[in-house]
Amino acid sequence: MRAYKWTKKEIIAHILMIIIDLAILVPIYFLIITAFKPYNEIIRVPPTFWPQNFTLDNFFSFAALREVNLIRATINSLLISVVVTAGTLFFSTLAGYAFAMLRFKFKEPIFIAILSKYMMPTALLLVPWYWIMRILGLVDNLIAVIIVNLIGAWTIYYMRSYISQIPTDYVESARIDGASELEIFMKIIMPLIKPAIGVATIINFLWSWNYFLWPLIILNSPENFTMPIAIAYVRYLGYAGGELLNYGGIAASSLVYALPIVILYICLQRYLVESFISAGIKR
Amino acid sequence: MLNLSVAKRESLAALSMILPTLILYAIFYYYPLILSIYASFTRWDFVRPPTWIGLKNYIRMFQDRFFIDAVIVTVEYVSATVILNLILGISFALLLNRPTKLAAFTRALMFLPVIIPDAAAASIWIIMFAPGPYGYVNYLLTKMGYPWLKWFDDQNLALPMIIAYSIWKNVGFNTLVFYSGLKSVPREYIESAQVDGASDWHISTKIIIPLLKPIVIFQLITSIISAWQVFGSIYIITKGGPGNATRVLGIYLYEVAFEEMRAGYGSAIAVFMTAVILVLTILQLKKLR
Repeated sequence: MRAYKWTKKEIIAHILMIIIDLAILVPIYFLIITAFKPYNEIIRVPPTFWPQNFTLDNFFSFAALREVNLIRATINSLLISVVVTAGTLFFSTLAGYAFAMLRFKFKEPIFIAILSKYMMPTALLLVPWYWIMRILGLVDNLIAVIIVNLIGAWTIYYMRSYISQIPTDYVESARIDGASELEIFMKIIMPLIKPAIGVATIINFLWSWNYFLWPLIILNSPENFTMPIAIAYVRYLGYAGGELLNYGGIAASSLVYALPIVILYICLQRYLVESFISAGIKR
Repeated sequence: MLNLSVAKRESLAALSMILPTLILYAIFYYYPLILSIYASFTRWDFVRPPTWIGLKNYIRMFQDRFFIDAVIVTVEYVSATVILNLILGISFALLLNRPTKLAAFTRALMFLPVIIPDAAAASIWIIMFAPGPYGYVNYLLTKMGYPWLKWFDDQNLALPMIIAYSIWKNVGFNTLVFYSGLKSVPREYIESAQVDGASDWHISTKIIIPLLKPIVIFQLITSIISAWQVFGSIYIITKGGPGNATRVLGIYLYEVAFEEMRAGYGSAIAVFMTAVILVLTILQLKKLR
């Protein structure tokens, strides 16, 4: 390994990197300190760069004043993400296995028909979804958010690609030994696709943690809000009243909302980035 | 005999494995798809049954100033964010392709805004660029002797600010995709060019970027498709305002269909948005072949 040469060009490159780092870290720092400042300090001129009157009120008064409960919203978000991720993985792994390993009629057309959902914008489905939920009586119900998101076109595609790489001999020889299809799936396939399940779990969880437009449409009462809807609610209540924005509430709720993801990222940093890149997608 | 029964068993197993998925698809994808297209030819408020009005929604769409404005704003947003994200993504990938600790740290850090949920990242910008003298950025401006700005509340600044936000949020993704592409460029190519005395600019534009072309095209088209549908960040930061300044198609569709409850007209807008995406997808499939 040669020693790193600190030429003029390299020094400039590293100064640029420091600027990029600051452009990411400084805004995040401002969010964190704002979450712990009382209202009169947030709107003080000049602004303080460290909370002078440290407070946790933003995390609680946010709740009392605005009828939104941060803990409740976090639980709702978690519930949706966990159920959607588990459900999507269950259905998609089964379907992915069928498309990868089994022979049946109309396999290709059915697969393409399923895959077409991946490029279809959600925008096109929202009006019918809303109407269906009215009929089913699921307006303002968390189930409405979950149920439409159990069909993961990307997850089926990803699972099929991954399972296709498994040699068919494994499956064939198990069949000759008289194993049922379910046994083959559970005992042979499942242990082999653990890495793919890991990637798909992370990606589906992050996706569902981000759901915004559909929950905004279908969830109306504050006790059913998920985190991002609660943040939007607080943001615009401040506007409607003609007062200044509830910056403290926005900061505190965003902090709670982002924290699990940031912790996840710190723990699984490399793995997570690779998952995203191998998946070739961002949202 | 044995073969037949094996084939039958296989089909049956396959059917039972994809049936749950097919049922969910039928109810929440295929049926909505058809209903959406049908609804775009009707006047409908979700409550009373829809009335068939033929092409009226589509004709109205192209006479609707708000719709035209939304298309213009969306095209501006998409072209600016996609081009800047691409150029900066490639530049940052080249910048960070260095064996130092700071480069590794920066690569890791650049993914943080990508991972942070949109609503939380948007809040960061709302707070940073608060439209009063108490805002952090405004304080720095006044400190340097400039007047403070209203940022997202300013008719002329709002869209550029939204574009800047989108780059801050997403450029890390492109950077890391291109960076992982760079890693696959054989070292010998670059070293032999260096031996021949090629400049860095020459190496980047003549060797590295052409080799990355397939990734660049894929990123370009997927970025256009996702930017075309932007909603969450803009809803949280400006709700499409001030005035029409940041009202993209996604926001306009939401207002028409779910605030004014004009489901028919809203569906026509959604069909229009989808048609554009379909054209782009076909283009992508052709380019990649």
